[in-house]
Amino acid sequence: MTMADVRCPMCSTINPADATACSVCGARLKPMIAGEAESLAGPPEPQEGEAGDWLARIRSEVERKAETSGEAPPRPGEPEWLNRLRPASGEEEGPPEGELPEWLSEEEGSAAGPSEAAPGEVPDWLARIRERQKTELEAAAEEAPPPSADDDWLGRLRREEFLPTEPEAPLGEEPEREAPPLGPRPPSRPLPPSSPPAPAAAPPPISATGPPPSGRIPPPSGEKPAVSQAPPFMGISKDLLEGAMPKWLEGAGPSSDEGLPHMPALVAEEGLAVTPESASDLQMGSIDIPNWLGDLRKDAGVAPPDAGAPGDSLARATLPAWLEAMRPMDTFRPVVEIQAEDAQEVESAGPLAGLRGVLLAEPVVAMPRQPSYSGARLEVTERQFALADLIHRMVEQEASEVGPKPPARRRLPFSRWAIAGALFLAVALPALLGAPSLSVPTLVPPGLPALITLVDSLPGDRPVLLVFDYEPAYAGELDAVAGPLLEDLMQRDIRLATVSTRPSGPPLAERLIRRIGDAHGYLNGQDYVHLGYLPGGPAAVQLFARDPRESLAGGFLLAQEPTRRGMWSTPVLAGVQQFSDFGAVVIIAAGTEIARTWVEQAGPWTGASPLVMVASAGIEPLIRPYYEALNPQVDAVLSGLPAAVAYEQANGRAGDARLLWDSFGTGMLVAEMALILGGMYGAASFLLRSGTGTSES
Amino acid sequence: MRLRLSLLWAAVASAVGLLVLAGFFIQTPILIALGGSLVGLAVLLAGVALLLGLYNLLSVHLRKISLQERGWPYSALLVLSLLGTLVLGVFFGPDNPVALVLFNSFQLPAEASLMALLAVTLTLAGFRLISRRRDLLSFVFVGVALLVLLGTGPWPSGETSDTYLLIIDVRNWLAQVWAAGGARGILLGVALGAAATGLRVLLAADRPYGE
Repeated sequence: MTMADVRCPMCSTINPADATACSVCGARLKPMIAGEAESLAGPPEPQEGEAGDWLARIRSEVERKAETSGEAPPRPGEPEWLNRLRPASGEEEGPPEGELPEWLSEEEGSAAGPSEAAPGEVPDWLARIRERQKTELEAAAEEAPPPSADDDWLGRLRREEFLPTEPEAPLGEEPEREAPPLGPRPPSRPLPPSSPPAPAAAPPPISATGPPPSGRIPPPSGEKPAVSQAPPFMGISKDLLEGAMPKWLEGAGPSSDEGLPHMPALVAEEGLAVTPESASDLQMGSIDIPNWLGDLRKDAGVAPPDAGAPGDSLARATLPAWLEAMRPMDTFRPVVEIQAEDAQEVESAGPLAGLRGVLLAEPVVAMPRQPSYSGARLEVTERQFALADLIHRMVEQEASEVGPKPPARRRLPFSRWAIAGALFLAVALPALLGAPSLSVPTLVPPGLPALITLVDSLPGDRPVLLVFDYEPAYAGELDAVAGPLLEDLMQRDIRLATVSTRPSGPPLAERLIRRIGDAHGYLNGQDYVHLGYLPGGPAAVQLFARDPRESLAGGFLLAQEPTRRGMWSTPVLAGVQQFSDFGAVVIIAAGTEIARTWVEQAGPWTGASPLVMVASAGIEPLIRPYYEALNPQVDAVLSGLPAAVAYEQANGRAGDARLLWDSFGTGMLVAEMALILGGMYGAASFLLRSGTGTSES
Repeated sequence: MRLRLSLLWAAVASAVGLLVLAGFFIQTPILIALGGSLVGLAVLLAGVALLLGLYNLLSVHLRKISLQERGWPYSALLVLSLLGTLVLGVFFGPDNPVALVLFNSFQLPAEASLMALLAVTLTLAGFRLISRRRDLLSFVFVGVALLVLLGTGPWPSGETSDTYLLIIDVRNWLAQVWAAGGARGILLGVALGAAATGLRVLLAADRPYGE
């Protein structure tokens, strides 16, 4: 790459110097309005202590001359240097041949800068030029379309980036400012005293390349800095910008042209004038100076602009608390540092996709920042704080790892085995050995005499309906309890009919009746009959009580072929047309629900027939209210083994109840002893623990 | 449409309930016959529900067997027993000799043994309760149970002692006053609840048959 080559500002492709557009991305390499190098060489903003001494001398001499010659002072609102330069605005036409402007002749005599000519001393040729320019400007202002908001976006961006603090010159005055041409200077024009003579091998003015878009000069890699972009504090004069090399810069590094920083944009074309906008874009004071340039400046013996500034001695301002809270977050970056060109990311979306170094919308849109408003402080009540603390503890407990449970200590179930063994022995020994023999109850249960009387009064020509509604698990108790009643009925030769709302009821009925009836010569189909299983629950009970013949047709273990009319035509059920035709209804139940169902659903259909309840001892309290009432729905109750033993004693015949009585009695004694021993063990352990606690305390 | 159907179901349910209820108070042949037919339909539906329960039991255990889940051999035994007894009952009747032998040899002893274990369990529970949980309610509970047992079972010393007579009286007082009083309260509550539920169904306030 040579200095004549131009790097594309968008894709960094090296293009020839005369190329106007990039050969790769098509980006324009030369701006539509190019700036001339000499435009940048215009007089910089005069600063105290930094302006060239020659300019101060010129200014003082002009003022002194004006005072002596009676010229009008510079117009207010215009910079002095512009007023001094105004007479040279029509320099493209120049004075007539052989005529030298007055200010130039004065310069020659005083070796000072151009002075401002008085209005009354303007030559005719210059007046004509000014008049013509004025008319052209007015015509152009009338013909020019109104500026659009998007026409000069690049210029605005540069002004915002490069000139954050310096105000622009008034637009009305800019067209009148014209920098001296870049062409060869008049030989009579003296050089500023501080400007060394330009060497022949000095590099061309770098101002032609313009500043990089990033506003930062890339770090040096052995090349010279761009002199045209040197800040004003360096005291670089206009002559230096035209090609002269200062002394301090001559010793700073090699003077070769290679390695100069690349300025990708604003390639100036010779002969084109610099517009005021482009000139304002290149204000030197807004450009950051890298460290290496500061080092060069130190080597040259020039103090930095802010060294020893009065602002350093001031104490740093402190913000109040409320204002400090409104400051942006630390993560917000007010100034985006644009990275080196190679390090910048390639745009991946939008019309600029594939280009490198495009402006990012992120700092404006997506960067986090603190809201401009201050949120109200959250007021938490004690209850809310307690709830939040509770939730916090719950979450902590959930997060905590639960340790594995230690294996439970295996203990021999001594008490379980001891009680089970004692009960087994208590029940088995009387049944196997016949000892011990316990006395039979002599006290008659309260309802037993009424039951015996009721059975004695039953008619012999009407069958008794037996309802076997209990599960086989209760057969041991209920067979023994119902046995004495069946013995009594069979002793009176009363025919029996059985029914059940449980599938296991008919086999239980057959088993019990056969065991007891064999001694009395009862035969199936002649002395008793099984009506069978009555499905349907309470509704079936009600239906059966309403019309027994229509409800049951199957039968169980019928002696003859089961036909619908055959079961009801047997001698057992002869004369039974409805439910009240049974001589009595005996309900043998182990559960409260089925007992209540029969009492409530079939009770209204019994008529004058008695309803007898043979129940387990466990449901006796719930059956007794139906019996002990002003209008009892149950006429007799027989519950529990003691009542059955008493019934057998009353009948004078020992049956199953008596056989089980000894086992029952010893078992009850073991259970009572277990409870008593448990109470004694508990009391002893309580006393021992309380005594241990007292001694320890 | 949905509202019309809901009104139709409510009308049908209320009409059926009122007809059956009227059969208890108005003894006319028509109402009695109509009520009997409606109750017969209810019995039929109960029988169908029993079949559905049987199908559900079979499907659950067949799925358990097919997936080889834990305890599937017991499910297989249950299915085999169910199918065996079903075949016996359908083809040979519920009163065939084989079915009776199976009942008397397996079902009856098994259920009676399980009930006998209940006596051991309750005795052990009473022992642990009084020995480990020493509070007032535990003493009251076990004390009442002990009194009822003493008043129910025989005494080795005979039934002529005054102590035995006293305990008998206490036992009868507990069973016929306290227990019967509690049972009456329970039965009254059940009756009131059943009457209220019946009225709500008759008035279509409760629609257990769906919306």
